[in-house]
Amino acid sequence: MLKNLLCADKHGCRAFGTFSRQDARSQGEHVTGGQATQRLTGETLHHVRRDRNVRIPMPDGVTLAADVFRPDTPGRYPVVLEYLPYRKNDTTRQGYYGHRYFAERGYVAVRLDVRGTGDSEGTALDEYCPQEQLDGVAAIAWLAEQPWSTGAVGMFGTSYGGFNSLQVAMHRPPALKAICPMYFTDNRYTDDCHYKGGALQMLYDVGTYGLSMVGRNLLPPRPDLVGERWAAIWEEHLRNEPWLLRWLAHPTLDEQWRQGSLCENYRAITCATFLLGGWRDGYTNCNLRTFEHLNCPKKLLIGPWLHARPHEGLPGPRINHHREMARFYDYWLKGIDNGVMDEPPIALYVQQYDPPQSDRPLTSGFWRYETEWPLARGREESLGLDHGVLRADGPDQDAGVDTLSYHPAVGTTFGIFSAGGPYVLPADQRIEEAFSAVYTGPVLAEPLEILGRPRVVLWVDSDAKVVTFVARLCDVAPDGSSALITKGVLNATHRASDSEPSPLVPGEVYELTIDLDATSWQFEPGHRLRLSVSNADFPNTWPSPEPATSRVHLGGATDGRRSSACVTSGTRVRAVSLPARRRTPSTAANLARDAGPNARPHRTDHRERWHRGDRRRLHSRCDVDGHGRRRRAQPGARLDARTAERALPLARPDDRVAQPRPDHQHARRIPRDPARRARRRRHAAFQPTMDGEFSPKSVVTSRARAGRQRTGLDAMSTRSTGIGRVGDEPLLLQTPLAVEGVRERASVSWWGDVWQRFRRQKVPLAAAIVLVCLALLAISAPVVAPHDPAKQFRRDGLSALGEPLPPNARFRLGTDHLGRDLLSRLLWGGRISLTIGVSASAIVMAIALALGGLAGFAGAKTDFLIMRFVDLMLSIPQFFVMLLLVVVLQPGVWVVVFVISVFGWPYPARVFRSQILSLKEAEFVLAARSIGVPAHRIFVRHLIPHLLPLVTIYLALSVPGAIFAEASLSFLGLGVPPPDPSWGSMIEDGRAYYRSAPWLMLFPGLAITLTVVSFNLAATGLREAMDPTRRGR
Amino acid sequence: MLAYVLRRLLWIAITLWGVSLLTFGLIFAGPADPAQALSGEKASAASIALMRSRLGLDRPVYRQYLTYMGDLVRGDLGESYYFNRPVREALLERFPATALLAVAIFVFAVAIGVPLGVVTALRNGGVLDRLLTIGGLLTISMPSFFFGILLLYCFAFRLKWFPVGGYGSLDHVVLPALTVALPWGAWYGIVLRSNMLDVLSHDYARTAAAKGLRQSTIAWRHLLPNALLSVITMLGMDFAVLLSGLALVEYIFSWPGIGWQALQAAQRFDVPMIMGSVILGALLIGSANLIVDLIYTRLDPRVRLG
Repeated sequence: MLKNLLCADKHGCRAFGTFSRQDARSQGEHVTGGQATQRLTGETLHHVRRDRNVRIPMPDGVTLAADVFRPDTPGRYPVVLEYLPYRKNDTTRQGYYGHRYFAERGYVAVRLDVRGTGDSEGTALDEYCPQEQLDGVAAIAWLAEQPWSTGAVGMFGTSYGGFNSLQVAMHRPPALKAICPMYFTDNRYTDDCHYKGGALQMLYDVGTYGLSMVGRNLLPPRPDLVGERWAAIWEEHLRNEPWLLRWLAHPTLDEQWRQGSLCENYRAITCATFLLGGWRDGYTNCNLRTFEHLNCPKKLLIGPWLHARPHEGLPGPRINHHREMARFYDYWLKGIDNGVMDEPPIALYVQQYDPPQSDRPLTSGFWRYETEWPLARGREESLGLDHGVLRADGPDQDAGVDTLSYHPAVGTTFGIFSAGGPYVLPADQRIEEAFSAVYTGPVLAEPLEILGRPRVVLWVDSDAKVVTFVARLCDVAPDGSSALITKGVLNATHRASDSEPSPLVPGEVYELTIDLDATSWQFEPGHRLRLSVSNADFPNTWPSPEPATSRVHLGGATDGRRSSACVTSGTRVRAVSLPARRRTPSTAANLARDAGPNARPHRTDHRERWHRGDRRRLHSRCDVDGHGRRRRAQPGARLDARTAERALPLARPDDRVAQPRPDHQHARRIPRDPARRARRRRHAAFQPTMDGEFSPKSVVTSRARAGRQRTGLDAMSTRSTGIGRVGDEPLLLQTPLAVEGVRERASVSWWGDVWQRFRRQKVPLAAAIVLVCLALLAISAPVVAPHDPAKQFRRDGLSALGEPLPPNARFRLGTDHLGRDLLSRLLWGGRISLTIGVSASAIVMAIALALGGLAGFAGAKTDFLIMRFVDLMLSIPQFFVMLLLVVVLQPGVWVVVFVISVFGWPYPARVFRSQILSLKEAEFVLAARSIGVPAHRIFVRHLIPHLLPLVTIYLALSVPGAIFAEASLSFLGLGVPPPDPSWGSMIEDGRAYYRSAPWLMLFPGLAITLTVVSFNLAATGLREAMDPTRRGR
Repeated sequence: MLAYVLRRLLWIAITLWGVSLLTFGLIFAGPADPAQALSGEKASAASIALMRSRLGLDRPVYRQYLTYMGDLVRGDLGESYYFNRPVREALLERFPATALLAVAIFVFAVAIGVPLGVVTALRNGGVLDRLLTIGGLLTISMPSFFFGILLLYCFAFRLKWFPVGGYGSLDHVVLPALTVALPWGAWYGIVLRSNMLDVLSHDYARTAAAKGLRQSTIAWRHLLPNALLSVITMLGMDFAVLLSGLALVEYIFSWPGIGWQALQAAQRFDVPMIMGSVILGALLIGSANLIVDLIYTRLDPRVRLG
């Protein structure tokens, strides 16, 4: 056990997938130590061992390299295989979350390097080649026979691994029981990264993917893993041909692309298939199409995602899809009847409008089940094109033409094809609509939902032989911004055939049918549809070769589906649209109707149970209603997702997926439209925050708040992001993919936050109150003081012997040796002492910040000179020189301030300098520098604000020093000249009488002490409150 | 090592030169005239001029400075305007008193601070701990002269345990030394306490506990030496503050040290005396820092001289 513990230290979860040379060749290392453990959820998880460089022999003698993750508990487990050419131990060594996930849940998870790549032997002549597929079949047979294998094998994979899951499954290996391809294609020609719509994909095919694979495929295997054969294996890899050249050599649909395309024969697959996809992914068309045609047990899940795995990618909402996959495998590989195949087979995310930003972290919308595709209840609607307008009753006769000229640079706001990072989503389309033919529909009175592939039919002629048409469907918000929903690209030479393209004849009118990419979208009332057409999609699509001016013919032939009032000929948008549902402000009523009659009786009941924390429902798809009947989820129904999302941490604390957060800049950008502004505010307020660790406390917080804010939540419309529930059923996706430590927190400014933490500390708060009182007293001294501080009451202010009077009714604190009222002098003295203390400290801070900051920021010689000067100042016997300076300049209030400032700054300057030195290396400075922000601006706008907390603390700390210095000077008669009182000079006055009238020096002494103690305590509290690590607590 | 010490000594020399330049500049750049100050406010122009030429103040400032520096290099600090005796002699005469006071302060501060720090760290959160924190905060929040007069009032005037002021016996040392040592000791006690608590979380503290050592042994033998390191650093940095404190305390208790003398010199505008005191002070501060750094390297073998 101890050994395991130590191993866990070394290769613990955090270091997962990282490589250390020392352990590389060990056959089997503990990824997590020990025996199986129980998780918070009650799930039993296995500890995982990882075997590196497991060699799997192929029939021709070549061996492929695999990393095997398996439960560290003896026994037989089903195997799930991911099969990639992306080099499992270096370029994609981080992508092992899923393998560990499956292994912990009793699967052997394998990542296998494709022949000719990574640590595998052999040569790879192309992607998805037949040899690769046969290797996959052989590997599955080998995996099924291993001593730790039950003989049941599944495949999974994202992108490449999803492609070849389908391709290997088409060979029907007997052991392969289930596949979970994600972001896959069924058509390698037109729905991969090569020739979308017959047009070469410039950025993806040629630029990013094609070139990177050329380099990647020439890399050697890892010598430390494969041993002495590495050089021989490398030689085999060096025979890999650049795949890109082969792709470019096949610009039309031919056998190169038909091979490995499932669309050639969907019936080839017989094993259970769980398809996963994303609407913003490049392979979005394949999901519904493949599902429709497959003739095997099948499920489909489509989220709002890009080409990045949903547990970590943008835009959210994120889910942990591994859980869904594990349930599918549980059913098909382990034979557990968990009801996964009784559920509605299709789960999809209905997207809604968000302000168009390329780095949008979340997509608004909701989840929904469907039981079928195509939808029986869907219907097609056609809209006709008129000049600038999209009309349901489009022009019934020839309405003229729109002229469109080719601008090659159009497309930069269309988003990047199938990318996975931030800044790749479509931005506001209006910029490029200026260079497009644009047709905008009427303002929608009711929500309109579309699902599937919209189709655009254009009647065009062109003066070019080769030209590409790009049609975009957009959602135009009331504020005018235009969000791209989906687009379609058609190389017009491919209008009739991808295998035999033919150039256009200039002047001839053609009917071009452009199928836009599949999507799911709900237009909100008040929004409008917009179709815009251009000839370029830069940088995704290779530009067409010649200048082109095209004409779009409006009006046109009769559409059989529509009444005679409809367009007789011409151009129209056709989309499968769902029956629009009217939404009322009351979500509750809406939900009740949507959920169907069954749901109505106990909807409320359910919700209340939810809030009571009854979590069973989170795990059960079907639920027993009040009469003991099992109910099914209602397709087409939806529920406010936010409520569900908020309760999530309760459900699955260990299966959390961090949701992306909006960038600060965006949060600050406030829409002009008041309704949207309100919505946005709500959105921000309910944004889950990720900075808290999961802890029972935070759950309690979120639950408590969830309960409190229920009314507000109910009032929220369905437009919220997150995981939804279907009708009355708890959750769409079996698991609510917990958001880590969800807490809602209203936006709090930094100073507001500091104040919150400051006021919770009793002593510093009391000190601050004392200081405020002292300051008020000092300010109001002229009003409050009972007497003139300089007036000498020679007759009634002194005893008969001419001695000072002790405290009495007339002189509350007594009188001094000249018969002056001590209380009045104390108040006026406080005025002077505090003024000097605070203003001197402020000047000290200014000097320290300027010189310390300059030294730290400028560095080199400036730094050297300033710091040596600081050293010099610090090694002077300061007090002597201060005295001297006062004598030279003649005593006075501002001379004292000046003298204190001159000698106060060196120490804080040193502190600020070291702070600037470390800040200077921060990334935000690098970022500012890289976009050309001038140095002085970086200093003033970016660095100084970071020092403000420190400056505040040092300000509070240096006031006592300044008050001391003033008092000491005055005590020596070199401070504030008489008759003005200061606390120091009052002590000096009282010194001679310390035996007979000790109160003379006691009161001013105590006043100084009280002030200084308060400043010190307040500074301590301030330091605590400004500690950045305590932000938000 | 030797090179390091030499470099530091060179730096001290440069500092002294800078200090002298600064002070000299202050005196002669300001509006005040030493001859005027020395002759009195009502002196006639003729007598001021006489005084000026007697003191050599009629020469150009740079000549005066060069002369002064030339003398300084030869160890001559000039002659006090006010006492009519060599500054060096006056300083040397008063140095033992100041040294005695400083040593007494150091002894008291250590005797108060170290046990307080250790004990309160062991009794973290206890009554003693709170008392120390409150007491420490109060004493460091009082001006030293006020605290000194309070002590004077309580222990000399009321209780008559100690003489009111002056110099001569060990009894005379106690009150002035305590005036500075009490706040210092309390302050170092607080710092030491938090250092001890920091150190407590280190592995070697746990190892010592695992060996079965008694708590007090761990505290004194293992934690204290490590916790003291940063206190010693502070000691070097606080030396300049100590000098200022000394001046005020000497003034209050009529302690015939160089601090009091320097105060008088400043008030009387006794230029050579001020220069001498400031330069001596800078020398002391520089040497104190050097010594602390050297001690530090002996105490903490991880520290390299550079």
